[in-house]
Amino acid sequence: MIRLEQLCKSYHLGNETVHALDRFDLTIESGDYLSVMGPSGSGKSTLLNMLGLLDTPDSGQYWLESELVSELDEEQRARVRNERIGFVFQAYHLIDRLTARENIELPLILNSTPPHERRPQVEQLIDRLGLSHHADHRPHQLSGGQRQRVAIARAVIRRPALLLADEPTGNLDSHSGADVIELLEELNGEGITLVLVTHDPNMGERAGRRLWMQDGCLRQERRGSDNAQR
Amino acid sequence: MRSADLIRFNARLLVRQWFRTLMILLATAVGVAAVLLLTGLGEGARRFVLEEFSLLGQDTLIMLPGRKETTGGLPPLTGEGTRDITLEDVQALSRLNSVDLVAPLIVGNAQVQFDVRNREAVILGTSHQFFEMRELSVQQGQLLPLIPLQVPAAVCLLGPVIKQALFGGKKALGAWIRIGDRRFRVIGILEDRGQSLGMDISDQVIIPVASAQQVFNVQGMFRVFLTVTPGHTQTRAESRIIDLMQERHGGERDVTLVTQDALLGAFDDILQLLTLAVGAIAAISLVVAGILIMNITLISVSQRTAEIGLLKALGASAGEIRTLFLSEALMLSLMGALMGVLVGYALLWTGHTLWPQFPVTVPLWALAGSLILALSVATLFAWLPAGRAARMAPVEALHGGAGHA
Repeated sequence: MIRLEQLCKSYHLGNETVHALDRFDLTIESGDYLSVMGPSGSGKSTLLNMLGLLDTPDSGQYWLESELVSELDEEQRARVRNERIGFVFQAYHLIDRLTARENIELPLILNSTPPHERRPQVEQLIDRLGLSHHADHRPHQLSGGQRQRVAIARAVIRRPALLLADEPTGNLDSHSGADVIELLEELNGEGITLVLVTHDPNMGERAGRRLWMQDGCLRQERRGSDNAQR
Repeated sequence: MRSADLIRFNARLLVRQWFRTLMILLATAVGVAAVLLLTGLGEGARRFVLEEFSLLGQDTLIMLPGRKETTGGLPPLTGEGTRDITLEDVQALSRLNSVDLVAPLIVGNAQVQFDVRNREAVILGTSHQFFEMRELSVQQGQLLPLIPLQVPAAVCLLGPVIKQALFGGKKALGAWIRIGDRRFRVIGILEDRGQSLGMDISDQVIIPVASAQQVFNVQGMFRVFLTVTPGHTQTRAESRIIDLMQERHGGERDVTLVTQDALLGAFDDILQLLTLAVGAIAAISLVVAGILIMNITLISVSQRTAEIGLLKALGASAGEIRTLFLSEALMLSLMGALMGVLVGYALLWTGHTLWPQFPVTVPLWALAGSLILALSVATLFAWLPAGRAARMAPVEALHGGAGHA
């Protein structure tokens, strides 16, 4: 489903050149559950931005569902992001003047879905994620866990193939964090490919494939749940 | 993004930042209202003058003694002739084919007295034709009789105001009054027609032209009014008149003919220019509003950096982001402009109610111009910040433009 070949990205910090991704190769199968771990500056966020088409590589190729998306221009990337990729951020990135329902609706509004088609999709998802009581609340009236649930609903409303989560539990206490992870895993169980960037080894260990990055390179990959520390 | 969604999305933002919204609305509204108000007043002044002058009648010519160049600039309104225009000249003019009506005019100030009351009044010495030309009528009595111009009949007509001043409620018809050192019989009271050409006819006394010559001891006419015979061209009539006067004055062209068109044209040009000028000055305030919109939009873009990043991550294209910010500015200026139109018309209407004589009309070009200017200024000044928002790299915008995570 996803193939990265010799992907490179470097930044200039002062006089120093930082290789955030250094000839990076990766293949992800549809329905995979990956966690990406590593120290700060190891390039895991850059990898996530690359996968999410938020950033462009300096060189190398990126195939998403057999389309060479690394060659697309910004307008086409925007379309791909809307159709196939969902994002969950550590800081939720909800728009505070909109209600929970309107935040969830946003990707549908952006792709000009008519209101009568939007409404049932949104209501169904709100029901499913147990947000019925909070649909008309604004983000600042919700708890952190509830906000992240709204953000996840927004990420999957378009039924994307790929769900990218950048430290989704970073701002949550352990109880709501576990809640959020379980929701993400549930969605993964329905076939959405899930890539999770985390600092927390306990979270990372739950994934089917566990990547360890350092200096823009993949240092180690472990598969399976044989030594998962549940 | 669908237009309805776009408007709703923007409306949320504008309501949320109501103070900012209110300030821009005010700035735009003041600009638009100022344009409407000033051009409305300018246009009103123009109409006022035009209406005053058009009372003269469309094909009326005015002859005055003395040769004056009329090319360029306002024709002379006061002239001292080298040779008088005599009553014989007037009679000769009335025999011309292309001239329909001729009315001589002598104007002067004299003491008017009845019993013990007396007043200083403007005396018009003229003929029967004058009433027809100026569409004057009497409320009581009769007009000046159709007598030869040379006959100094001792009759007069009074304006309603002077009649009231001299007679009060008493009957004036048939009474004898004294004008200067001569006695006249009142044969008619004029209909009140208000002001015309800056002269209030209701405050004046009309006597035969020959009588006026005696009262003021003058020979020459102050003015001669002529109308062109229907079916004859005005320019032909003009040259006939000039030729005749030249012939009668020993080859000397010593009269000036003024047409209403020339008078109106001069005033019209000046007032139109004035209206344009004040309109343009008011339009500057709209440009100021535009700069305000630009600053506000720039602030909005930098405050909403993370939101722009998010929208891009959710699939908004650069074009959609630009549309978002442009439409926000457009909505603001459109609402402001409509508010301005309402306020401007309300103020003009109030002015018109307070002073009904003054016609206030906003010229269509000013209304359309101010609306178009308000919208285009908003678009123009929002273009730069909107473009900046559209070009933001999604990953940088998401992290508040603070660099890479």
